[in-house]
Amino acid sequence: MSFTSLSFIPLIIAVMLLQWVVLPKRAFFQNVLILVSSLAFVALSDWKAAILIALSGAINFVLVSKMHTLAEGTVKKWFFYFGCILNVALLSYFKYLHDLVAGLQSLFSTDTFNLGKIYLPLGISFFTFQLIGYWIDVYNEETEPEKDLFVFFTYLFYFPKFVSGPIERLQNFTPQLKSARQFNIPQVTDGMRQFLWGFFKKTVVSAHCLLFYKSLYASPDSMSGTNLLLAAVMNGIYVYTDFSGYSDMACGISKGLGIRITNNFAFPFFATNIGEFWKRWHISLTTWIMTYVYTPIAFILRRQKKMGTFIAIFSAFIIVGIWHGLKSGYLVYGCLQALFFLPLVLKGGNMNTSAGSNTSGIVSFLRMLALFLLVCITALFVREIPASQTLKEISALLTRATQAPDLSGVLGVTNAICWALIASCFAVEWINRKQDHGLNIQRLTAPVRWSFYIFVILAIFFFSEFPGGGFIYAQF
Amino acid sequence: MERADIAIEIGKILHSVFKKDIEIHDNLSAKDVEGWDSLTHMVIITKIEDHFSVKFKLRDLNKLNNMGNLLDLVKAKIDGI
Repeated sequence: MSFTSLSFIPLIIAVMLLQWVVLPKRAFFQNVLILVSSLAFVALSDWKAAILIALSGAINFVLVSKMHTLAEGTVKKWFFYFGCILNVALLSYFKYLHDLVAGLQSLFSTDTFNLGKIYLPLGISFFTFQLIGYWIDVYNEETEPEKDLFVFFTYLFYFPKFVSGPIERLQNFTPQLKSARQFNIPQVTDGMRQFLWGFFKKTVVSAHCLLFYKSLYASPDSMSGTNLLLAAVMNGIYVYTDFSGYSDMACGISKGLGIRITNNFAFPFFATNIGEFWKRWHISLTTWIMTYVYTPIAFILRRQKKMGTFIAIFSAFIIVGIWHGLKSGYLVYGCLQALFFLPLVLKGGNMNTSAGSNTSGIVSFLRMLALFLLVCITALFVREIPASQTLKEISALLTRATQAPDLSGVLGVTNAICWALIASCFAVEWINRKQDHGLNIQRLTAPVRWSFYIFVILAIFFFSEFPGGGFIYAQF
Repeated sequence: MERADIAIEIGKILHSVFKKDIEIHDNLSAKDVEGWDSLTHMVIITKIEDHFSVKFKLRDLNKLNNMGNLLDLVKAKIDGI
């Protein structure tokens, strides 16, 4: 079941009506409703994943509680390692084993083992990262273990974040379940706005970028450099609007239920340097990587100064690459992102500027544009295509730069409107870049607000596409 | 060493890193200081360790929310608590 499917909209309306109109305003009833609807959502989407996560969740719940009772020392440390390895092993089996065996067999030119296709449970990367974070936080005494299995399951199964995150820390999420949520009109209204904006980004902008990408990318071996560059840009915008569209819908639904979850995006294409970009892109994953990978390594290697920092950054981005899967393209993508940080490391950091204050002037605009193109070109590695093929395409960008482009598939009146809609998506986000989402327009007057709503609704009504395949990050 | 003296010394360390005066108070956090990012954070931590001849644990650092926590931690380390 997807957020954009016809069966989902009645489900979410029913859940909201039950929570705010029918049920008593008590945390217990509200939490039962959230858990039951989340279980239904997950089971209807992938019932095997629901069983796996219930089992994994229950085992982790018991083991973490047990670890917490142990005295500081070797036994506790090894218990902690065991718990983390258990979760990594589960993720590795479902997500990496097939690609690992295939890669090794390809390396040694053999086909002795045929594993076949291994089933990939829905949301496994997201819930496994949450569980590993939970183990580390309890071990480091940053949070107490959750005592209520019912609350713990609500945290794990919570349907707005289940399929593609955000990766929430338990201590940020569960306090919101401890007391009754009150109906808050501005919050619910803002949730609806954010959902609408996410729906527009997914069904109009992302869908058309995908169609344009496919049209431009029709013959990668012979196409012009311009076609390749435009295809890279369309792919980059497609990935951004698909994933941030999902995240906007997830946050919007959650606000509608009175629960705050992390905004996963903060207008990353308006960043002017790579450090800023990664603070704005897939925020919950980068925060996780920063907390559990970068910081411990940078701390251990702090005496190595810049070399230590770079090793920590490199390790962090290798994990970012592997998080997507065990394919050569993802690893190259991670390595490249780490390399882009090299100037920042050599300068000793200190290149941060607060969001929004650095996005004026022609220099900032050119930096933004250059970073945008760099991100779009490197995002070509985050596809199901081998890294070697992507490398060929990127080199062809330059060697075939003067070749006449073939844009016949992306021109015409209807396509012109779609190009305008893609541009208007960025224009609206630029106007609202200091807000928490692209359609947070509460500060504007009612006629202006309604002009925005009507524009977005009409765009969805006339230009939405449902090409199938769901959300791209559901596969990760 | 008194807590106030530690604050003065940390102020000097921050000045050497950011090349400007930073007003030290208990509620000061990294996000209040432009340029105090994850890269400069480790530089600051290492300089504090060297200056006060103390050694932090990662667990200590993870619990720091603001300057007040850092001053308390450094004082506890100096006092051998």
